[in-house]
Amino acid sequence: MSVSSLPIAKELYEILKKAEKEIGIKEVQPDEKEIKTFSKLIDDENPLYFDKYVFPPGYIMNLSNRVLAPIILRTHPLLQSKLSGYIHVKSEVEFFKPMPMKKTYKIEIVSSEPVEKRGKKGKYLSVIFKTTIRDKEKEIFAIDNHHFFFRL
Amino acid sequence: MSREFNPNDIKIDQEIPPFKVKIDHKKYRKYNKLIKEINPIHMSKMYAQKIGYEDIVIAGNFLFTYIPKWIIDWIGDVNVIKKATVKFENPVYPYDEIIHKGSIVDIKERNEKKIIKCDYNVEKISGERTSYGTIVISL
Repeated sequence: MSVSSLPIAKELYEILKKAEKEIGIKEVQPDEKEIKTFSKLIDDENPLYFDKYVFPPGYIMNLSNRVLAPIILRTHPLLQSKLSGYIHVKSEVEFFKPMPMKKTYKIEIVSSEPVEKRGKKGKYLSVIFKTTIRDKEKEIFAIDNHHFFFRL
Repeated sequence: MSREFNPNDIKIDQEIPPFKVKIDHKKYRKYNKLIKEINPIHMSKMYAQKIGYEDIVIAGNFLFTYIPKWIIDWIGDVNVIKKATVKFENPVYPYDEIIHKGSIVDIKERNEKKIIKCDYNVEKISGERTSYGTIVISL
């Protein structure tokens, strides 16, 4: 699939790149209380997580959302004028190491150039947000290729 | 390891015990608050309907959380999942009930570890597939 040549695609890409640059690589720390609340909400109070003090793998997207959400938020003016919504359509997650709860992580998000695609509800611009989660020593713990559709 | 899973007894086509989830709208609203959700498609019924959906669409992030839980509950070890892919095919709405079904499609030995690949589907009770993907486990 080739990169879209539509002006809106270029505009979207510029907004995303500017947001990435301004937000940069963010440090996040899982919050134990938040993890307990999260586990309760998805009925996953597996004692093993707290025995080994690692957070549930499903929590990873909640962690990375702290960095992705501000980037996506920058596209909202465009969403109000030229796009009609966006949705998460796919993820490819690789876990390299167990992720301890009491650790500070560095999350970096890099977006791809938009590609035009056709979905069930019309035409979209597809963007992949490559989300890399490292620790302060730059060791990679997980990568999530998070695919979004922005609806034209 | 859980009682149902025996790493010495696994084989291709072996089914993963199915796992049902009844979406609880109240819990989902709390989840949105917890993660500070910003996409109105996941929060506003009016907005979701305006762009062609029946109701608010349950977020992919939320649905994904059940995939590792399912596998970890089956195997009984929190550190076994190496890769997980998910492709969201049809929307899941509040009050939907979904079933996770999958099976082992490949087993390899690598560096004294067993690498197990599973394919899975998630369906509504009606049979409509909502998502699918693969999971790679290392034992």
